[in-house]
Amino acid sequence: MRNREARSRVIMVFATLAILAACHTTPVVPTPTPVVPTPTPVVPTPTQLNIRVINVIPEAMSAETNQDSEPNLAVNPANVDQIAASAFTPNPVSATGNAPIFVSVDAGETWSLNPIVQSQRSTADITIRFTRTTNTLYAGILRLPFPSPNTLRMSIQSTTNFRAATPMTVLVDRTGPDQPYVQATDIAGSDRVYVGGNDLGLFPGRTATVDQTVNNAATFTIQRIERRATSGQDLPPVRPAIGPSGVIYVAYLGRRVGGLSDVVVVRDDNGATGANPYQALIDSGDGQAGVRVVTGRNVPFENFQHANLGQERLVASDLSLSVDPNDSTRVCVAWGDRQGAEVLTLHLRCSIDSGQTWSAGDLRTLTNAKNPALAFDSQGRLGFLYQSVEGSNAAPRWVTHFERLGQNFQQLDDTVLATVPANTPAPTFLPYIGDYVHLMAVDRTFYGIFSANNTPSLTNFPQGVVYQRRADFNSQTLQDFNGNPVNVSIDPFFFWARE
Amino acid sequence: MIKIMIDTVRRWALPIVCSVVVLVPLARALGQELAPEESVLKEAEIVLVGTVVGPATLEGAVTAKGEAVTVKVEKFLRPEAPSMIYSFEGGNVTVQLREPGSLGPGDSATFYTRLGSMGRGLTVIELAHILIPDLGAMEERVMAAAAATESALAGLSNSELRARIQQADVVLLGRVTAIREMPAAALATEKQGPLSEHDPMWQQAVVEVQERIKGLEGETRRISVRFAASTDIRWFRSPKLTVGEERIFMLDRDRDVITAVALARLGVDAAMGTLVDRKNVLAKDQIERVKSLLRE
Repeated sequence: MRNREARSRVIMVFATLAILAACHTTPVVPTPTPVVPTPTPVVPTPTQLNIRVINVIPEAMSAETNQDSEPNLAVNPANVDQIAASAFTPNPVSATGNAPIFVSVDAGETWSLNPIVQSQRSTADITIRFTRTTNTLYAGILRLPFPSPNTLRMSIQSTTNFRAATPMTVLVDRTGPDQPYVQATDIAGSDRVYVGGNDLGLFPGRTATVDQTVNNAATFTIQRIERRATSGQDLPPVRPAIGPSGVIYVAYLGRRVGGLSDVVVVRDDNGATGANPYQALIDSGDGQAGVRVVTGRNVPFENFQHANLGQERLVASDLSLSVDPNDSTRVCVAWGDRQGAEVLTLHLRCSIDSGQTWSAGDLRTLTNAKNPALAFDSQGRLGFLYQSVEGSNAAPRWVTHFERLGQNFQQLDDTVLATVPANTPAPTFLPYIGDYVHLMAVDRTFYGIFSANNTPSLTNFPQGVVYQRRADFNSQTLQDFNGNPVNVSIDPFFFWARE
Repeated sequence: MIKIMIDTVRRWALPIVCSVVVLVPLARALGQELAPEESVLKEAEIVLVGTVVGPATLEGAVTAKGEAVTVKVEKFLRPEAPSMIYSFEGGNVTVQLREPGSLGPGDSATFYTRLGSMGRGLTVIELAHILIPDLGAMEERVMAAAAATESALAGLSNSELRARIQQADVVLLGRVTAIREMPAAALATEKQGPLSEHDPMWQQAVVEVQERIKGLEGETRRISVRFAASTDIRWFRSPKLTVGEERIFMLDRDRDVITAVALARLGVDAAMGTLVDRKNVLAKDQIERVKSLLRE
């Protein structure tokens, strides 16, 4: 009896305490979702932005007329005088020799061609990147020849001396992935390399993958990052971005049944070194790894020359991703899709909560444009490089823009780097100017590269331009060593921009 | 006695000097082959005839090991013109020597090289060289060296073509009469593939056989052959066939099983495989050369 009373008293005490505790609980306030500030109306403010634009083609190649499209760029963060550039430039003397890169050791003022990439004559895709401190240059390429006509051959190569005539070392050589896009860093002297790719060897299936090494290139592993069902494949661009403290983001275009696509961003907070990498971001809608920034977009895949897009093709390759080097919660993505009757529209959206939520609307929307490339500088400013077709139908021009956005993603300025004829020269092959370009930053300086018609005209390059190859700006003609005229072609143009 | 000695010297001095000037280089030349071994010929991307001007400093972004010399280029023998390097004909290039000290100022040679770098100038890396004897005018020496090398290169070219002819299942002279999209249902192993910007975009050419050179049965009058219509960076150099053109084709038979119905649908007697190498298509005027190599 006493026991039963004692038990009742104990129960009463706990019940009273529970009620009191409940009454004193702080009212539940939902965790505020970080909101990307709405950008102010576009009022470009004049800034003291110093810009230098340099044609990459060396003097010794003055007679060349190649279509040097789809350029890429690697600035050595440990020594910004050392820069490598690439394009669809063939070996100038051999159908079986190595593919070349361009190298500069004076911060891009002058360039030399160095045929050290192990691919026959040229590559079929190439991106390049230096590590942070170890002076190693990595390349992710489609290597020629392919083993069979319907099989892609992806290769990852490296060199610790990009100035030497020694061919790059082949680290990976496998079939399947398309459009290898390399990013590299190092932790405690050990290189980490992440190569996004669309592994068509997995077709039909989830093809967005990352080939990566986290042990100084001793071994590479293949990480499949698509978690959702696809139409049979994802689209070509898979773009990694390396943030501070081991944070890695990857953006890709998930292609769904029916043909529409999602822009998806995955994240890993430990350099993708764990057993289940790239699963730090969970979509609040379907609970899957990988936040869908937007869904159901029409991303055109039209592998033919477009008269209304400056002779370029559309192969769903317009995607760029960048993370703030000092704040991994700030990340931006830009992509291209089709809106109404426009041939291609670029969109820019950003997140300030590590990719969990994104700006509800576009921070920038650009019509008739392609080749977005993003990069944060050390001040948290976002650089945005893109190319758009402007002007009349009779005289269209490829206009290369470099915009900067501030800490709150408000537009700071919009600088035209080049405005060149879009209807000449005729394409030799596709892509005409490239399926993508590249922008990066070291400290406060942005470095970028784009391809364009190389007519030597200061009107075409409003910020000025430097040619190493022989050119007469008065007569607007290119010349070989003997003064003979050389036909206009597509060249890669390097630039840097800093305040 | 003194007079006899003077006469003797007068009589023999000129021939002795001439022998030293003429025979020594000739002996040096005769001691070597006129062209390097075939492996060097195959590997050499740039072959040039030139004269060493003096030592060179390897400048610019690309570094190199060993000794380098400046060479005045008299003539490029490879690659074939047009090539952007022909701007350097008559000018100077830098040659990174295979063996330091092997050549000095005034030495003329045929240089077998591969591309080093192109910056402000052209740098090549020597694989081998053949000294040119210091006989006659420079023009004559260049012509002699060029003739020897061109002969060797032509031999190599014939040897490559012979290998292609031997490797091909079928060699024929034919005229393209139609171009068709690939009929996916006609081929058992064809299926809808993934979207890729590097898709070859196969098309089928119908070729009317004008002359059977190798491997075709007598009753075969029309064949089909696949080619890549894509102009992607991967494919733009592969042969593109157009209706009406007459060519010599070196082809492999299709390894897939082609049904008689499929052949009838294509309107051909036999199906060939894919044609992706432009070296397997020759101009019509090469037919006698092809036949001759086939007979060897």
